[in-house]
Amino acid sequence: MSAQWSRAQVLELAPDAGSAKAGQGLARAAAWRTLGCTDQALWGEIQGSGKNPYQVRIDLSEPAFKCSCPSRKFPCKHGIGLLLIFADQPGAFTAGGAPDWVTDWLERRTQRTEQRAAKAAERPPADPEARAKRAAQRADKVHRGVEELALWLADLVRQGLGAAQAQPVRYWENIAARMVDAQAPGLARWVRNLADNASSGEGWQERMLAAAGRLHLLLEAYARIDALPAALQADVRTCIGWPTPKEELLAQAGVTDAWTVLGQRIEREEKLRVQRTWLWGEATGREALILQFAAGAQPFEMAFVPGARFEGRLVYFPSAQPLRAIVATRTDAASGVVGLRAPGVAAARDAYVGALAEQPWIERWPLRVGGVVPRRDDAGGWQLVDAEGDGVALDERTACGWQLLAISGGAPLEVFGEWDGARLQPMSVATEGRLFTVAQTDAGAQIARVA
Amino acid sequence: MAAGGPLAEWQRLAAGAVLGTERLGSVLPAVGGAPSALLGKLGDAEPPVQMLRAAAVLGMYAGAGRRGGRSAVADEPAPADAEIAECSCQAGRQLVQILDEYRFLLGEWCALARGRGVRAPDELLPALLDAGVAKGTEVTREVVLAVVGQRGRWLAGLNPAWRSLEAGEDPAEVWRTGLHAERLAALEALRGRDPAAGRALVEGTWAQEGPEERATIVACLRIGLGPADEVFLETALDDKRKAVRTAAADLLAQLPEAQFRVRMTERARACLRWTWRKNLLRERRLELDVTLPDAVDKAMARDGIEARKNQGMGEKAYTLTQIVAGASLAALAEDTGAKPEQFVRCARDSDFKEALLGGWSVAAARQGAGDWAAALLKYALEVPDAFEDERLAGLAACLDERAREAELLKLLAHKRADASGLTLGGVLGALRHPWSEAFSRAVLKLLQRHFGTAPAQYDHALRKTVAQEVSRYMAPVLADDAANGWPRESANWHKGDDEMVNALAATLALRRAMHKELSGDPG
Repeated sequence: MSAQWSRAQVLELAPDAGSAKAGQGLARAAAWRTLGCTDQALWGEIQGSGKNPYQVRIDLSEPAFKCSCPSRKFPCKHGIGLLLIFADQPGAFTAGGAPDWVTDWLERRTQRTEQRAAKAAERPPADPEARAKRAAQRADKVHRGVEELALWLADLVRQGLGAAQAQPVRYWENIAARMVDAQAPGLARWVRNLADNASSGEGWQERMLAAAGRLHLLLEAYARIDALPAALQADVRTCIGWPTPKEELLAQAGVTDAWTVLGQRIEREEKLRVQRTWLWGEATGREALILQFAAGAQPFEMAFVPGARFEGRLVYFPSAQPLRAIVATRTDAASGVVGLRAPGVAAARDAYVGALAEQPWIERWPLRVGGVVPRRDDAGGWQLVDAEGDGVALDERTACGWQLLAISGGAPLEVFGEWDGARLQPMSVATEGRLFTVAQTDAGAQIARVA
Repeated sequence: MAAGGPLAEWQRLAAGAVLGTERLGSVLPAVGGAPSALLGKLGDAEPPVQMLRAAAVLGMYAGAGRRGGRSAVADEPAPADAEIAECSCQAGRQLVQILDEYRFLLGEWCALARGRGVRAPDELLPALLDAGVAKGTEVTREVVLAVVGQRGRWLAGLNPAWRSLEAGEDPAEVWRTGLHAERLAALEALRGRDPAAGRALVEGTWAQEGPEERATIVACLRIGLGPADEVFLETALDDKRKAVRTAAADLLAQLPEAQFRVRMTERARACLRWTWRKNLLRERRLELDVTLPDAVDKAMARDGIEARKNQGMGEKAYTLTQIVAGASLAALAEDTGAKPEQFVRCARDSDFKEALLGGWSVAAARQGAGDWAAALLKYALEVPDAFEDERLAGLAACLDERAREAELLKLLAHKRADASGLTLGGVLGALRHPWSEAFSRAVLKLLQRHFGTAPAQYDHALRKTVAQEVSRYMAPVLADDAANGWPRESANWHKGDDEMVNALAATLALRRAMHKELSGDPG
C-alpha cells in the first residue's frame, strides 16, 4: 500500500454518511491527546464522553480498525477521524514507540490470522454422502425453477415486451421470489435486471430484449449443462446462484502477484451492502474482482483501499473467463508508481468481445483503455477517444468528464473502469507517472491523486 | 453497417418483441454475414422461443460491435504551464479539505497560492472553476484565475459554464437581460473597474426602473463613488420614493465637495452657535447655543431628512441629528478652531447630547475622519452604551489598522467589565480583516474570560461569530492556544460550546497549515 492516503479514500471506508461527517469533525490534530505511527500502524487517544480517553488503532496493512469506544459502527468515527488526519497532515503523528495497547493488538491480529489458517487446514472433510444428498435435492429444485422461468419468459415474449412494461412491481417480484424459493437466487437477480431494463428510458426495447435473450441462453445452457465444457458449466451454475465453497477454492494454487486496487464500488441490495473491488496484477496483467457482502453497517471482511498495492495470492473462481477471485494470502504493502499498460480502444474492445464469446453472461468487464483523450460528443456526453478516432462512451451518471479532461490537458490517459457493454464507469486514471482514483460520492464523482 | 444488415434486423426484432409473437406470429430475422450461421441453427421451436434465441444471438452481436468516438470533438491540447508550478501535495490536500467543508477559506488559500506562485492541482481545477463562477461565493474571478494556470484557463475556455471566468460577462448584456440580483452584481463589478461606465448603465435605464429596484441600484454606486456621481445623485434626490432619496443622500453625504454637504453645513450653522468663553480661572472653554431647526421643509425632505421621533429623541432633536450627520466636520473645526475632543466634551454637557454625538458618529464614518472617530471612541469607553455596535465598527473603520485594534481592545475589555448593552460578537464580527497576533491574543483571552463569567443568558450570535468569523481572521499561530484555556468547568459553559471551540481550533489549525505550506511561514 502506498503511504499516501487521500481524503476521498478514507471517507469511502466510512460505513455511512453520518460516520463520515462525524469523522471529519474529529479530523483535527488538536482534538487528540496523542497521535503516533509506525510503518505498519497508526494510533491515537481522544477524550470522548467516557472517563478514559478512547484508544484508537489502525493496522495500515489492510487497513483494520480497533477502537475502545462503544460505537457499533465499523469503522467508528474515531477511526475515520484518525485516518483523515493521517491523510491531511501526516506530519502530526509522532513516529515510533508504539504503546502496549497497540503492539498487543497487532500481535493478537497476527496470531488470529495464523490460527485461522491452521484451523482451515485441519477442518475435517464434510460427510460426502450427506453432501451429495443435499446437492441432489438442490439440483432438483433448481431444475424445476429453471423450467418454470423458461415458460414464464416465453410467455413474456408471446404477450409482448410492451405488455410486460405495463405490469406492476408484483409481477416481477412474484417470479423473482419463486426463483429464490427454487434455490436459484442468481435467476432472481436476472429477473429484477429485466424489470429494470423495462423502465430504463429511451432504447429500452433493445436493452430488454437483449437481456431476455441472454437469460434464455442461460436457461437453455442449464438444460444441457452436461454437454458444456467444465469451465462454462461453472459459469452457468454461478449465474443461476450455486455457491462455490471457499475451501475448494483455497485448495487451488492461485496466482501470486503484486496487486493494485484499481477500483471499488459499493451498492445496496435490499439489506446487504455489496462491494466490488477490482484488482490488477502487475506481472501477470490479470484483473480480478473481489466481491464482499456485509449486512447493514457491518464491516466487510477485508478492507481494500483504491490506489493501494499489496503482494498476495489470489484464487479465481472456476469460469471460462476467470474474473471473480478471493484473496488467499496477503502480505505487506509494496510501493511504486503504476502505469496501466493499457491497449488502445480497438484492442480493448477485442478483448471484451473475445471474453463474451467464451462467457456470454459477463455483466461488468474490467476495461483498460490507453492512449485516450476525453472528448465531448454531439449528445452532450463524454467519450474516451484514441489516436485512431475509436472511442468508448463514459457513463453519464459518473459525470467526471471535465475532471478527466483537466487531468489530461489534451494528452493521452490510461483509464480503467467497469464496462457494461455500452458505457464505461471510470475507476482509475494514470498519466505521466501519476495515478488517480475516481470515487463516487453523494456530491458526484471525486477524483483524487493517490500516486 | 448496411441497411438490412444485422443491426437493422436487430432493431426490427426488438420492435416486434414489443408487440409480442401472439400478435405478430413468427418474426425470425433473415440476415447474411457473421450471425447468419448461428441464426440458421435456431431449430424448430415455438415462435417465442425462436425469438428469444434470435435475441440472444443478435443482441450480443449488436452490443459487442458498438463503436464510439465518431461524433466527439477534438480540443486543442492545453498549453504548458511553464511559469507556474502545481502546488505541493500537502497544499493540494488542504484545498480538497477546503472545497469539502471549509469553503469560506477558499479566498485565503487562493491568495496564499498566488503569493507563492503556484497553482491548484489538475484534478481540482473543475471544482475551483465552479467556485469562481458561482454567485455569492467569497472568491472573485481574478483570485481564482490567478491559481488555475494555463491549464485552468484552457479548460474554462472549453466549458460554456466557465467561459465568463476569463472574459467576465458583458455587464451591459447582464444589465439588459439579467435578474435583479445579477444586474446589481454586474453593476458593482463594473463600478469597481470603471465607475463612469457603471453610472452610464444606470442613467441609461433609470426612467424604466421600478420603484423597488431604484433604491438598491443607487446603493450600488457606493462602489467607486466620486465627485462625478454628484449630478446623478442630485436627480435621485427628486425621486418619489423615500428609500431612493435616503440612499442618494447617504452617498452624497460622503462626497466632500458636494452641494449636499454645503447645504447641510449651512443648516448646521443655523442651529449650532459655538463661542469661546473664559471661565473664572481664565481658561478658554467652548460653549454651545442650540437653536432647534424649524419643521422639516421641502428642501430638507429632498435631502433625505425625515420628520419623526427616533431613538428616544423628539422630532426636532432627530432632525438636528440628521443635519449634523450630513454637515462637514472640517468646516466645524475651521469655524471654531476647536479639536474633536473639545466638541465632544462640550456636547456631553449639552441638553442635546444624543442628537449631537449620534450625528457626529455617522458623519465621522461618512467622512472618514480619524481624529473624530478616535475622540468618539474614547467617549464610548466612558459611556459604554453611547453607540450601537454598527456605529462603533463604522468609527473603528476610520482608524488605521494598529490604532483600530488598540482602540477596540480597550473598548472590548471595558465593555465586558461593564456588561453593557454592546455585544462582543457584534463588534468582533465587524472586523473583517486578518488580525495581528497581539490583537488576536488579547481577543482570545477576552473571550475565554467572557465565557467563564458571562451571564447565564445564552448568546447564540456570539458563539456563531466565534466559530465562523473569529476563526477566519484570528492569527493562525494561535491554533493551539485556541484549543485550550477555556472555562469548561464553569457553570456558564454550555454543551455546544465545546463544538464552538472545536470549530475555532480546527479552522485555525487548517489555516496555520496552509500558511506554513504556502508562505513558508513556520507560524
